Amino acid sequence: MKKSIKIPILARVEGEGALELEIKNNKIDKLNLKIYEPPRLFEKFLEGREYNDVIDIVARICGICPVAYQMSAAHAIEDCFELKTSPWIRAMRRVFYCGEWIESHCIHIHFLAAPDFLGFNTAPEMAKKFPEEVRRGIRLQTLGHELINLFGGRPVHPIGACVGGFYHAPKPEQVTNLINKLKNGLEDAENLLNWTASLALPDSSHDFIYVALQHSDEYPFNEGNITTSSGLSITAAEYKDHFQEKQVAYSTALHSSLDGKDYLVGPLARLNLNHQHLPEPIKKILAENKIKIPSQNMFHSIIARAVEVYYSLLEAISLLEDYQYPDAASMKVKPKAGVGYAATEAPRGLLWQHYAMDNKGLVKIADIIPPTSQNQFRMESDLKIALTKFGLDKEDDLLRNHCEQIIRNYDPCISCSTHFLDLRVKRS
Amino acid sequence: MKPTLILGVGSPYGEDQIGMLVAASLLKDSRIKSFIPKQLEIFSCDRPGLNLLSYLQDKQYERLIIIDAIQSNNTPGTIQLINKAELASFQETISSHGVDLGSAINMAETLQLLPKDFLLLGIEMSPMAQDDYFLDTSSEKISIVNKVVDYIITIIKNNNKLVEN
Repeated sequence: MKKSIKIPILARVEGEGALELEIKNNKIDKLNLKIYEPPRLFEKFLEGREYNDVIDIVARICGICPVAYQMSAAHAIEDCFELKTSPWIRAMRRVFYCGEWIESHCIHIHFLAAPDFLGFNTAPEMAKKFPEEVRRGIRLQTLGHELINLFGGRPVHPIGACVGGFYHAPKPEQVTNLINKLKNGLEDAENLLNWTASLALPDSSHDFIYVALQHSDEYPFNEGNITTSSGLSITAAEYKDHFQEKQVAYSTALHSSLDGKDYLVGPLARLNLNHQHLPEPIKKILAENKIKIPSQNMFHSIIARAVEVYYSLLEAISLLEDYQYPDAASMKVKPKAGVGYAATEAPRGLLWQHYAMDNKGLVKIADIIPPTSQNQFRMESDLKIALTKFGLDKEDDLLRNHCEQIIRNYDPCISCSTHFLDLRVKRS
Repeated sequence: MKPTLILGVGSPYGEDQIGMLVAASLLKDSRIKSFIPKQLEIFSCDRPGLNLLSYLQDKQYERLIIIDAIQSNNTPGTIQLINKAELASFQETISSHGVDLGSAINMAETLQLLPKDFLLLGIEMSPMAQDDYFLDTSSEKISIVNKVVDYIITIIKNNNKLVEN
């Protein structure tokens, strides 16, 4: 018997994509995650542009993670120019990134993922039954928004970052005011983590490789080696020696693999590889809720996001409490011909960029590999395993809902990977 | 509780600027200056999405007025009062990257954050011309801003909630 299920448009994900599933004799015969969003060609737009134009242009790739695109680009170009930044810039870039993680994760937890686990079709439906939880999410999200605004000059497509640092440093009184707000958010962050850890999450544990930056003494944002659960530890410059991209006929986003295998990037991968750097209050909550890290249960991603919200608040407070108004918010930039590489941790995972620049500081080549295209192959593999475990003989609507839940769990940004679900199931 | 919160919603581009331009103009208007900020608060909101709710979460306002650009085939500058039922009929878009104004207001109501006294002013704007993309202050736009500012000041002054200092 052959059966075909098609999800023509995926709901509650960013962008446009579809899933085509063919089941033959109760086995998956074909499973294609089709990303049909048109290519966006940002890398070609960047060619010939001046180095600081890059920072403003890449912020436009994504509405929710512009900081990540700016940070990877800035670090890659600074790598090319052999430019070292000051401790102040390094610390404030971490704070800037904290804002993006808090905002992005809070939106995903409360408006996209939690309705799945609590049995609601939409976030507004969930908000009727869980108003305090949603209000808490909004309060936390606002803190992320304010952190981005502090350094970015505006919350949407921020414009404060540049190669070498920031255009302006916030005034100390602005920082003091925000520290107080961040401290008031700590109880919310703690409650959020306890709440996500107490949700009845499905168990989809299975073996897979996960990849994230790993740093010797901190939870990573901008620095560290690209590290895999399979034992590889490399610099950003060595990325293409091990990670491959290939075009598949059914998707406009390239498929990434690690020596031919699928792999996970994102909050769960980061948590698995860096949990040793978490502050004690977070470790304690995970232990009290019997959440074992590393975890191979993809549905623990919502907990990983809540961990990172709490961590980002603590980290931002800690760094801002030492805030001193700097002599210079940026380093003097001297363009240098060459190549540069960087990988930083976007909310959705590893974001790798490579630039070749000329001696005037103009881009000759740009190469950007976002997290969602790296997770695409992993999502297909996860769907095959999870759907088989769920039961391929289930009704099409149940299969469709389960597929969407699995995909949403990755918080895919299809716009960034080029957009998302339209499920088509064909049974025979 | 403060009597009134005014939010001019939009973006810094083209005709979508109107809400933010009205907010900026209200902030400078001598007819209401003495009421700000104790009785009246005014903010420009650049594509706020769910962050719109952050202005409401302390429940400190009796009245909320939101101004945003709309396109409904009317004459540019037409002011339309959009009620909650009409708003609920708008298609909701919630994704990780964007939440439309209607969804944000519906969410505020679900969470009981929306003041009972709520006005959404839709300002009819013409389709955006290509050369109008960046900040511009055409005479037509200035006259629309002035018309909307006068309209709002009439509403809030007739409301009896503002007390002259």
